[in-house]
Amino acid sequence: MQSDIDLIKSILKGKKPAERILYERHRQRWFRLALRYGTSKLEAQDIFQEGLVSIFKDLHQFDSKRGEFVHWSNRVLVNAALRFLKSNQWQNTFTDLKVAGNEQEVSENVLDKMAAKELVQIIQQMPLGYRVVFNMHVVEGFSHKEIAKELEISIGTSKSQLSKAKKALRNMLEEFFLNEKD
Amino acid sequence: MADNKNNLEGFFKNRINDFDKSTDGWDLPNESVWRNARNDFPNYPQKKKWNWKLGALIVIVSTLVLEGGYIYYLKNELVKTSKGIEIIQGQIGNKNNTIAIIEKEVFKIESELEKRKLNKQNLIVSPTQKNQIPIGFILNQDELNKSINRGSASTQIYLNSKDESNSFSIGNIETTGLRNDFKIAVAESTPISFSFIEIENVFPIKKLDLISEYNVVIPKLKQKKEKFELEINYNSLNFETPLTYDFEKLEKKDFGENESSFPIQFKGGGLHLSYNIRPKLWLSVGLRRTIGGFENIFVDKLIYDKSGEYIDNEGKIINEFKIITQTGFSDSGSSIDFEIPNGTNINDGDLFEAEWNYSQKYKFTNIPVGVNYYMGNDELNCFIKVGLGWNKVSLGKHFVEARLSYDNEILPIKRNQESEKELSSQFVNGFVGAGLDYKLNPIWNARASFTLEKNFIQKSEVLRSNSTSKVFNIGLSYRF
Repeated sequence: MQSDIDLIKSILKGKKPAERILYERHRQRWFRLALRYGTSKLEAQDIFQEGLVSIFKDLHQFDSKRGEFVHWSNRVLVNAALRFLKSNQWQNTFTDLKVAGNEQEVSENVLDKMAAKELVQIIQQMPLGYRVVFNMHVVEGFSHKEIAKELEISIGTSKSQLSKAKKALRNMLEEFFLNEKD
Repeated sequence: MADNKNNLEGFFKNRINDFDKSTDGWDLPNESVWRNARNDFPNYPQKKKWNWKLGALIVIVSTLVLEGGYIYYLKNELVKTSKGIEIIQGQIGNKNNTIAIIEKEVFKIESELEKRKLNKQNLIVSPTQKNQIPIGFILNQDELNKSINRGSASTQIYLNSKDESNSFSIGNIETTGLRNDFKIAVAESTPISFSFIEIENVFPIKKLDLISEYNVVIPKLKQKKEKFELEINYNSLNFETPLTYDFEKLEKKDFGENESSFPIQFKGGGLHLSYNIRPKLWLSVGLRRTIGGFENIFVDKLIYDKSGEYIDNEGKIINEFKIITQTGFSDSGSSIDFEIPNGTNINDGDLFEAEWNYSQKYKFTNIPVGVNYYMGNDELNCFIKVGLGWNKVSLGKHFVEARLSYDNEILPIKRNQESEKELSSQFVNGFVGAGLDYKLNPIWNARASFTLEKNFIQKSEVLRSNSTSKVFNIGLSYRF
């Protein structure tokens, strides 16, 4: 099997079939990322499409010495997602919302029963600000400083958004299981 | 709480990236997304694939076209050359006829001369003395050089008496490089054929204008140049070598210096092969093999050492003395056992008379590589040579003969222990020399030279100093 780097070299030499191979290899990972930033599959597809174009347009800028292709492509996709979100839903994104309830511990039994699909659905239901900060910090591994820079907010806001996102997430998880029991 | 926080974050991160449990395609994009996105992908420049078949075809076609053109060209050239050859053959035919006539006439002349045993002096044409010459003569270069009037516009050569009608002029003859080994011949025919006949294989006349109506044929012969030379020579070599000797228990004040120098004379022969690399400059490699040796006698007093005494099977008192002699090439050692006769009482430290006669033979091989530069004229040259050589000197056994006496009584020698092994020493030398070279004839030269060789013998305990050798060389060389 050709490595990502070999495929990228082939693409840069104008070999079109290599584009499809690279796409097939990563589309699920990329699309899940898009799903987490969007609120629906339809919205995720728009983010995904924009991100996909960015990845292939900027492919010549990828430097294998500076990191793996997976991380580079994820970051390009996150940027695409942010661009999409900023152009559509960015107003009042980071206003503090009151989140009901206290911090509750979520038992491991509860978490074990959840699949990726349910988790993504829960994330999609979170307010945009929470969702973005949570995704960037928890899943993509951005630091608060990086998040602040990308989203043009303060580090404090980033931390606050994350904290509230997690609270909201716990509430949503509890609610999800209550509904499941019913 | 912290555990819970880590628990939640880790859980999300891991579970979201758990791709194995995707079954219903919820996390896969529609195919239309790919199609739409693909339209916006950049078109990276596709590197043109080398079509080797097309390339091969081009090469083959080009080769055929070029070959065809070249063959066509060659055919045309062949036609032209064939025509040229026909013309030249025609000319050669004419010239051959003329040459045949001349050769025939020359043969006649030479035969006639042989018959008459004419003295060549009588054949000299002298424009000043206007000596009569017979028709049909052979003139060698020396005679021609004497006969022609150098520096003048022309030289009148009379073929018969002082008859002006039977003479011709040679004008502007350039004799640079003329050699002795050709003759001039005039045939007894009308019109008179005049030719310089090549005797060896060199025709050195560069220009010859004949102010006459005589039919002149000058064969154009290619000058042959000798490139190689083989020399066989005899060498007399004087090798100045330091000698050190060290007799045990020697009373040095009686013996004198314990280091001196003496020559070893070598004689032998050699071969040299030379190659002419530039005019007057020859590269030479050789092999010289010479044999020499020495024989020395020392008379002196030695100090008796009683510790060397022992009793032999016959009950006689024997003592042993060792002799170590060092030469410029290597060291040699030997020992003698001598008997102390009954009734003779020699004490430790007594002096006794000793006469040593020792000799040694050497074989000397030399392989020189160098250059010779010649200066002079065609016949006599002086030359200088310079180069490096590899040398090997083999030492034969060291023979010792001794006569010992104490208080006028002979101490009989029981055993002469000669050196057991033959030693050899190798070294490099540099040489510079000069000599004279005389051309006996076009291929044989006689030569004599003197060479000084500085031998780079490494100094050591055994070899105390460098040596110099002087070589006189006479030889004969053959050029080819």
